Amino acid sequence: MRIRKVLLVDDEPDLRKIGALSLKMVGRWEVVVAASGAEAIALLSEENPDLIILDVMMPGMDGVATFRALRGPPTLSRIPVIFMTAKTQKQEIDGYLALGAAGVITKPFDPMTLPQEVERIVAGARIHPSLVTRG
Amino acid sequence: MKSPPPLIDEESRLRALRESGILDTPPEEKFDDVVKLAASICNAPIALLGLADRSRIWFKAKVGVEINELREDSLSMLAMRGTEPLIVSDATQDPRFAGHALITSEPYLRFWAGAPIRTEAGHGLGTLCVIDRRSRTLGLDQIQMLEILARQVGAQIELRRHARELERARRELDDFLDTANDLIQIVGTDGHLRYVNEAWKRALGYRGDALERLSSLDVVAPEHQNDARVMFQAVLAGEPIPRFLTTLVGKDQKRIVVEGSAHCSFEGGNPVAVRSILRDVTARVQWELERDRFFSVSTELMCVAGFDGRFKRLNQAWERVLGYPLAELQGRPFLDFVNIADHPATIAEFQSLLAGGRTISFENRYRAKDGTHRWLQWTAAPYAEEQLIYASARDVTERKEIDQMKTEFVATVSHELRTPLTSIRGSLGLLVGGVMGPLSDQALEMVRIAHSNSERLIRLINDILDLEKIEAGKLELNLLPVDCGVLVAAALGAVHGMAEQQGIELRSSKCAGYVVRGDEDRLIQVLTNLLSNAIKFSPPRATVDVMVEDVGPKRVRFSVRDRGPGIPREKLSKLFGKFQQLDASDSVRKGGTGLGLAISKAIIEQHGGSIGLDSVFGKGTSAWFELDVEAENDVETERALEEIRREYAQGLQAKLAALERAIEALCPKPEDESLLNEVRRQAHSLRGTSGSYGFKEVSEAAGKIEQLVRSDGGVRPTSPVLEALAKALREVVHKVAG
Repeated sequence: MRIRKVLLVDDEPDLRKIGALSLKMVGRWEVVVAASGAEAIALLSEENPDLIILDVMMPGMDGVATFRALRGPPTLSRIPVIFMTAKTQKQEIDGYLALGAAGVITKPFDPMTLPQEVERIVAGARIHPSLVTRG
Repeated sequence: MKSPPPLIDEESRLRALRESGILDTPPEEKFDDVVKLAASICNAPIALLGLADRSRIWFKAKVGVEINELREDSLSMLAMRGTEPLIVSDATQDPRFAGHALITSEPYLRFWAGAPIRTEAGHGLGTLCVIDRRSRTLGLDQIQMLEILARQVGAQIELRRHARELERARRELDDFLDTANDLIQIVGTDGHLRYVNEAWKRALGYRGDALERLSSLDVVAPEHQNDARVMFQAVLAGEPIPRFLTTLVGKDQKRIVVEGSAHCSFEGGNPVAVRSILRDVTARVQWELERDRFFSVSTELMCVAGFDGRFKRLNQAWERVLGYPLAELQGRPFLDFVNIADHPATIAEFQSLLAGGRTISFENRYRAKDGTHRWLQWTAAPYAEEQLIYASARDVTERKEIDQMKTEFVATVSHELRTPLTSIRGSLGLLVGGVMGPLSDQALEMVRIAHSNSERLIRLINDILDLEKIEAGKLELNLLPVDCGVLVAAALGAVHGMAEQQGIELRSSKCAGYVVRGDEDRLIQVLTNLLSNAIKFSPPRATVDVMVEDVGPKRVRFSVRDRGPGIPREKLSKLFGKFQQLDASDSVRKGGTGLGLAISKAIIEQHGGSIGLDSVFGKGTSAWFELDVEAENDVETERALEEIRREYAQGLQAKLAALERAIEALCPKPEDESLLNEVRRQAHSLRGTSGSYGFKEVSEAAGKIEQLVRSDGGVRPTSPVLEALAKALREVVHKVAG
């Protein structure tokens, strides 16, 4: 799968900005940002991204709730979703994967290698968990 | 005439005589009367009461002659041995008595008549005889009277002997009672003391007259007098008291606590006296009192429990800490009060106590009456002969709560620090990466410093979180057989870049072939840490060696050797503490967090291994850790299993390749294109599966997928089928890759 457009969902304006810059400048992708799960869902049909990067800890509708809303009708999106979290417990990461996430990236991420990591996840290559969970 | 009793009885006869205690005593009226009566009845001028000692006849009473004893008295001796009176009408005519002192000198007797004096046992003690200076005889009635009088004398002497025996027995008993340590008293039905022994007198100080006037209640402490009165009446009514405790007060007001029994003696159904044996238990009661006060004043929860798991005795601290009245705990199984989550550990600890072990610092939660729980830290020891466990517990709830708060605080702070750090590092990363366009050299230098320090801060937070997790016991090890060669290779891979940067050559030898049981990721983390330390402290272009070797039949040692400056001996052990570095400037220069060795130590110790540093100052350092190797059988089994899995997985790969081809051939509706993409991607990712895990899942899923593809009739699957396919594959990928 080739990535052309990424939707980045994060409530932190700074991280939205940095993440978007990284994906745009290093990854050379088109980037759309959303500050909440609701905004992300609203943008979805209009923007039609190839990939969604979703922050877990958001006020109101958190990452998991947003993910469920995306996957369930009426949106029924099958766009791959990568979770982004500051929590590093394996149990938690396994939980997101079991939910159907394509992968998990832990904060703090390195903006210079973030697109590379995203590509690795999307390629479905088996990545050693210790590499996935270390920013 | 009967033959005299055999002389063999002479000794017992003499003993009987001596025991009567009559020999050489002054004249007594009752015996004097007897001889007077005998003289009068027989109408004789002289009468004698003679007792035959070993070599003399001693006269207890006499009339008509002044004589105390005779050396020889053949007449008496003869009469004494007979059973009937001996009558000699004219002694001068009888050759048996020739030369008899009483015949040849005053009173020149001619006539002698004597009756034997005997004991109940038949021993002859002497004779009662009448004497005349002329030859004569006695009438039959006179002889009979003489016999009767002799019998009376015998009875008198026997009585005297019995009295003496009784007296001696009584004295022995007195001596015996007086040597007893217990207080012994006999109280009449009127309550007066009839007898007390020496120990009683000593303990209470009453003697002589003072004792005579004393009632048994007078020595009982005022507060116990009512009880004593009731008890005394009960005993008199025939109800013995086998054990009671009371306090007595002596003459000098000294109080003693006694424990004893009381029984009543009866005669003809009527109570006669109350006997008591009392033991002075003042010291013991005092000691018990002190012990009980300690027991009740203690803030520690103390208890005695049976091997049956039930509380036998508890102190007041239980009431204070858990809020239950003691009666609610007494006799109940202690497990009833233990938090259900702590049951398995508590049962295991209890079983180890039953097996003779000791408990030190075991902790579990007890349910308090108000529904909350308290953490108790236990020390306990079993006493098998009594089937009892003595235990003491400390309420450590507060400490636990503080620990918990501390853990949460550290976790929260660390977590909260991550968010702003992500922004800082991200911004700096983009600047350093040149994404925002070129910077001046000076600006770049500054941004690099900020960037590398933000990275250090992140490592520090990660390490603190790691250590916190390990120390809080929250680190769960995923223990599996791991090949040491794999661990070394992974760690070498992780530090490869760093070594290259510093021009350090990494060498490894003899690493494969050993299998340990451990958490692969965590062991790689430790080994990586040791390696990066070695690289950091190596001079440029030096070598760092990694090796694995056995150091015992079932133990393997990993070591990492550098040729750095070495570590002074006194600093070696300190380096495993938190934030310990060789010198303060290191942290800045070398970029470490100062937690690496502390984390490594915690991880290795949780694996049941040991870790250490050997160093020769100026020559280099060897950092090592040791782990137990897997038992040989396990290794063999594991290898065989691994082989099976590999073959199985190879079969699966072929199956998956066929599956992929089938998926490629599918032509779904255009709107299902993205769904098909996901299916393709998932199936593709399975091809990289090494085969060491998840073989079961992969095989099951492959079967399921094949079935799905086939059931759809091949090339034009509907959305639901594709969706199910994607879901099945996703599950497998997550299981296998996760």
